[in-house]
Amino acid sequence: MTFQIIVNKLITFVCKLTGKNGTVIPGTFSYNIRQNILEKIKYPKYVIGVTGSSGKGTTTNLIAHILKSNGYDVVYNEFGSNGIRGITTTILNNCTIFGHFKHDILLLELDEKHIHLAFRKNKMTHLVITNITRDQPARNGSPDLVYDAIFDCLDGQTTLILNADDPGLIKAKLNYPGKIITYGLEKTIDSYLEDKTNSLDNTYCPKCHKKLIYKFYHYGHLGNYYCKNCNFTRGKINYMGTNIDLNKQTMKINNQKVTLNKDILYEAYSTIAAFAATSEINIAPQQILYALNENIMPPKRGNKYQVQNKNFTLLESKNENALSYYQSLKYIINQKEKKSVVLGFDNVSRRYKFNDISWLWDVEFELLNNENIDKIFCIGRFKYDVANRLTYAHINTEKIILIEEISEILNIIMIQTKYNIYTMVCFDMTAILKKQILEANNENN
Amino acid sequence: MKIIKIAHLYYDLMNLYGENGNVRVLKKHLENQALKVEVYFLTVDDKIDFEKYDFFYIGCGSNENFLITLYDIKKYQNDIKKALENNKFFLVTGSSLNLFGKHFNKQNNLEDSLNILNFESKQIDFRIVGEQIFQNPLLNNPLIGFQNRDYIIHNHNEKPLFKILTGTGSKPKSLEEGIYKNNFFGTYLLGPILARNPHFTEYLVQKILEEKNIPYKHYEDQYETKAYQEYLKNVNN
Repeated sequence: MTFQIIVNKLITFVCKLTGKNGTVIPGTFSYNIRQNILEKIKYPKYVIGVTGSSGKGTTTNLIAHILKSNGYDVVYNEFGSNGIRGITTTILNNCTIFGHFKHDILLLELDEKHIHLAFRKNKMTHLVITNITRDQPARNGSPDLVYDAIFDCLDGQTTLILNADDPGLIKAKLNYPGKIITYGLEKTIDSYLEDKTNSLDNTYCPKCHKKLIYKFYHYGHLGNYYCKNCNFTRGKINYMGTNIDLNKQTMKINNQKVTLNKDILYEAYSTIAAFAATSEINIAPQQILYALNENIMPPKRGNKYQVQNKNFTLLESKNENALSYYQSLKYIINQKEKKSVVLGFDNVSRRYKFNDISWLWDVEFELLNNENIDKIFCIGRFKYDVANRLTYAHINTEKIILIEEISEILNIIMIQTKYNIYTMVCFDMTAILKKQILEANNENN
Repeated sequence: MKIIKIAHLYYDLMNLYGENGNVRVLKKHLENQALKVEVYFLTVDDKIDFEKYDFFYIGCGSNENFLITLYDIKKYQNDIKKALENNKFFLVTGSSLNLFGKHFNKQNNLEDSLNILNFESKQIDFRIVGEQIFQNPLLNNPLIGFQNRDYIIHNHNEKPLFKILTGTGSKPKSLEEGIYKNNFFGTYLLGPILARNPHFTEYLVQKILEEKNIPYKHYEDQYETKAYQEYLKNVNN
């Protein structure tokens, strides 16, 4: 073990020297030398995991912010390397050479499919699960398989902190032997009564398999549901978010006012999950409120640009995750100005080579059928598939512009629309756009 | 105006891969033939009258949802058998194909299926994932699609729907995929295959019109054919 820890630290040092991102490579070496290395570690009093199909990064960052704001000694995988190799790097780099973890709290964003690799023997004290939805099916399969993968190594020793608005998660209450704490959100002005997508996960009762009835939906299958047949419900919710006002970026958690970092609903979920997790390790409410309301976490920079008086907002949308796209679409539509949108990708995933585009039909592109949308630019290798999907959302084809020449994306956008731009493309196209924006600004200076 | 009635069966259970696209594409292409199209979304606890509809579609679902569907659909065994014999159209994609065989072997539990088509299927302990290119003699061009499954067909005594050009057959090493009988088109390809294969949609529309004695008028779609050609161009490069 000592050898692996030294190797891990040494490689991290070399990575830093050579300017490489050293969040995965060291753990890869250490993990490959002996796969059960993490079983030998002497863990601190609190080991908190955060997993789920979406929102785990934001939630982890918020938990870390609350803990750090109050002077707690916390270590976390802040660069989001959440697979077994990234986790191994983080853990071993923060141990003594004898395997004692050196800090008070270990906080980990965890890939749903990798939890069992890290915590088969040693158990986390707390695990936050944000939601389970269809996401990267070529890697994950279906949501029920993701649920099974997460619960595979949970034996009741870990306190679960679950999103009660997700019936597919709350089924854990039927057979999980350990403690379960829940959080949920009350109705907002954006809640709706009827799903129009016909592409929801988990809308049947996990107990009796009858169709769940929703009092309202937040998005996807998240909302307030009940089963008429067997009375399965969200149950008593330990941390309830009410009075959610995205314009003012505020909500109340158990009647205490908190500030939201962004004017979008997933931020409310991340905030309440972080509130619940930190409360459960006995951080006092006033300490949590101080971190959320006064010592506010600085917003992520780097997604707003300007080219010749035209503003560009670069939103990341995760392919194969309809709810990630929904959040971007909803954000764009909620901005009251008239604007144009850029959509597209060359590759569906950066983790595997498969290009399945079925999920385009799960995304509610119908939201773009809105008078404040001027043009929609389709870029990348699958632009015709994207454009085709848009026509089925009844978007006027005169609004749809396909860009063939990748090097001309920015020039064509600048000519074809006079409004501000919101891009909701995937990682590969974001990189190209950023480059063209920076080049344009360099030329103009 | 003639009316075509499409039943999207178990739309809220067998819906894992944007399957709603198939019904929307078919509806639009039929409407382009100046037909009136009605789509009915039907699921567990609805009373489904199989004589009422012209076209039935079922998509791919998770293993859990597959079983909920299987337990419900079995009560229609005779009605579905009759509908298939009467040349009603069935498009069945992904795991829902397993509903129609003799039985489905799930981890050594033998679940009786509809027993309408002569094949058996079973769950396997690995996943078959990947892009697929298939051929069918009825279509001039190959069919493109995707598979992501942990089940196979074995012991089948029905006509296959496709020959494999690239990808995996009904079971590994098989060069054939799917089941084709009367107007039943069943394949493990998942998701909106009609959106991606306009020539297959055109073929189905022609067949539907033929059954109703209505002449078919060719038309050019705006993006679907281009998307299809672009995909094949990229795959071959």
